Amino acid sequence: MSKERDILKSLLLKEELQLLNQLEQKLLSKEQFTKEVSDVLSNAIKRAQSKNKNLEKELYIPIRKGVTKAFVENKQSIIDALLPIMGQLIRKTVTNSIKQFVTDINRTLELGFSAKAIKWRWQALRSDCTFAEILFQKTIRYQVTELFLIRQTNGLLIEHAGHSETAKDNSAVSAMLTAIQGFIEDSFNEHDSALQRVTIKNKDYIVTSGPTAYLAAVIKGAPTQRLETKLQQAIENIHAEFSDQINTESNYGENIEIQDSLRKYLITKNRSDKPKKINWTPWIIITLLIISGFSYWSYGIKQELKRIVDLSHSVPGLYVQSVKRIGSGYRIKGLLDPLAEITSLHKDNITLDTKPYLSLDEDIVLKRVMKLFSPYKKVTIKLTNGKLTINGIISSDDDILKVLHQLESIGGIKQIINNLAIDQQKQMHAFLLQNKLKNQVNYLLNNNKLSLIGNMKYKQQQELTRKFTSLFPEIIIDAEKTNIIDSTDKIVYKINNLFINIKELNDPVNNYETLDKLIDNLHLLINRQERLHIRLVGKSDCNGLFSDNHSLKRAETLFMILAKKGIDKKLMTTHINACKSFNNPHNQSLLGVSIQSVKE
Amino acid sequence: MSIAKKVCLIGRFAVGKTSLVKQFIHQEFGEKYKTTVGVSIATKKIKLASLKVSLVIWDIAGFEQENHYAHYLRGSHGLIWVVDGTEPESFEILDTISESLPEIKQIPSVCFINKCDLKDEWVVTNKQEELLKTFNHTVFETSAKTGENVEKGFKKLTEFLVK
Ligand SMILES: Nc1nc2c(ncn2[C@@H]2O[C@H](COP(=O)(O)OP(=O)(O)OP(=O)(O)O)[C@@H](O)[C@H]2O)c(=O)[nH]1
Ligand SMILES: [Mg+2]
Repeated sequence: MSKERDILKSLLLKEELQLLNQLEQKLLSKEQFTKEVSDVLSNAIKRAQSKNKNLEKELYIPIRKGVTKAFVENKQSIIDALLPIMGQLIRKTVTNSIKQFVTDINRTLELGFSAKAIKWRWQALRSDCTFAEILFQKTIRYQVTELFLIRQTNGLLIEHAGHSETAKDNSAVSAMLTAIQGFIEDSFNEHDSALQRVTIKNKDYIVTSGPTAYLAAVIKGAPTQRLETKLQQAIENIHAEFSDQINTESNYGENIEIQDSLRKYLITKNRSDKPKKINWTPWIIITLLIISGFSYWSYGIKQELKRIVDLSHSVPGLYVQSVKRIGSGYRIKGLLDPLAEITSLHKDNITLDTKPYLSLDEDIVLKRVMKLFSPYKKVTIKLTNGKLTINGIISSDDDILKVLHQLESIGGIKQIINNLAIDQQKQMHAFLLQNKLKNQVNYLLNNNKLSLIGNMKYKQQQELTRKFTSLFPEIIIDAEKTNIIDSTDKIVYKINNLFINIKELNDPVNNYETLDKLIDNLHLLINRQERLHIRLVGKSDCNGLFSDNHSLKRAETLFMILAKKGIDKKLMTTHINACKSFNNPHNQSLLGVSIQSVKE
Repeated sequence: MSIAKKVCLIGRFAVGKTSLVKQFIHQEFGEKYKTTVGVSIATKKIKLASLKVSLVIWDIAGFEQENHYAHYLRGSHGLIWVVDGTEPESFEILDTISESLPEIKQIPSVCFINKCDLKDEWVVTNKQEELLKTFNHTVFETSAKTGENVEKGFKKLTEFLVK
């Protein structure tokens, strides 16, 4: 029974069974299966990667294990392969470390053995503080309060971290830093001369550059070399980690990851950061030294006091009343000008107990004057024995008056020699602008000669020349190219002297020239927007009885002619010069119209 | 969402660049002329239909020589060419600028013919206006004094920038 069934099966499903057999073989024979999978493996990985973002995660652990194992077992061949890259990396790291090392050694040496450190140790001993406390009060501390990541090309802010007043300011600061950077590169014309430190609105910035973006850090306190190295690393890391985001123009405030990463570099270097650095050996040696040298030291104190007194007397703007030793430092009592340069007093543990006053020391007076002139970049100043010499170019008369006026209130100047000249190009421009002549005339300034080119009224020209020469007495005005145009009164006068001869009423005008002159002048007046009234007065030789009629007709004829030429009818009226008698001799030259234009 | 865009104002000295920015941002105007040294920077947010654009405006000192311009213009998204309607030389200088930096004609730009409150002193010819239109998307007659067309002009440029 079962045999028959098998036969039936083989008859019905012969080909399918064969196929099944083959498949079975493929799957069960390891070798065959391996071959099949290896054919599609690389494509499968490719597709899996694009479809399933977790693939990397899944592969990470076995690959890491594999690589670690490979490192352990094939050290030599891996070392050989990495050597060319490592060489460079190591060189770079070593250079940086050595730089760091040297800075550190310098600082330790400075602290360990300088007179300053000895003094501090002594102060610590007397004031019941630990040396560490004194040391950190005096030594460098800093804090990175803000970080700006800025696009090199256009100065737009990529990200910002830290506390700042408004986001609006941040964008402006970024742009300003970039502008300054551009300006520096431009001015020094080298690529190395990039901006490194800058102070804007009382904030100190350290700038470190990367290929597409740069990092500006706002620093409080005094930064160290180490911080600069850290910031350099920061910008490198950010470029490595976020190259995609940095290279596409994205929007400020949207790259949360970059912000997080930046925040890591908001470093605070505070007192407890470096307790390990205290080296106790010099401490002990110095204590011994202090004890053994006590008597010598008290002699030294007197010498030191004398030195401080001399030093304080040498500071211009500081008037010394007394110098006293207080603890391990000194207190100077007296008067201090706000402009006095007192940094030379800072290093000797000196406290100043002063009241403000205005010093007349020449150094200080000069400083005060320089401050006054600081907005004028092209001005140089010299002060010797109370004589102040000012040279250079300044933009306007107002400015000269302003500074001279302010100079009066600065004591200590006996004489002022003012050689200031005015930046004439600008001044001239402003002058013509103010006098509303910009479009009417052009000017050309050449060797102290000013040519005015264009149309001007006589009065205008006179007025301008008068004003101008009072402002710039050394400049000569050249009117050769000025076209003097008539004043309104003159034009009215000219019109009123015209007589249009009209002999025959049907062939009216036989003196076109006069008519054209009339029309031109009328247009001139109208264009000047003068309000006027034109009386057309017809005249005749009073030869016949109809003379008055003809006079009126003549006036009306001219009225029509003028209206045709565009003179507004509302402006004109017709009149006659009536005859007293009608038998006068015939005279053609008396036939016509005279004009009386009246300015209203 | 907000996008940041860099916009530069260029043109001859005294055409009113600084005044235009001041009018745009603070709605203020002063008659006194104080020339800009280097560059002055301001920012302003503009709301377009669906998004906010934060403009970083670079008001560059008036063009006198070609030396200082290139750096400030780097990476700029948009330009505003400013001329003074009453001052023929301010038109000529645009040629000088675009000749010395030919690539900037590619940047989206608008042109402001400024001081339109002094229209009766204008010297603008149709030909000049046509010429300005050849390389600007739009030409506006503006006045930093009355504020006419100032905001409109800035807004139009912003629209070009986000297209
Ligand atoms: N009437 C009028 N005067 C204007 C207008 N715009 C500017 N001004 C005046 O023109 C002068 C120059 O203006 P600024 O804005 O300083 O010119 P600027 O282009 O910034 O000049 P620079 O900084 O030297 O390049 C000032 O006296 C302004 O008061 C305007 O639209 N109308
Ligand atoms: Mg300006």
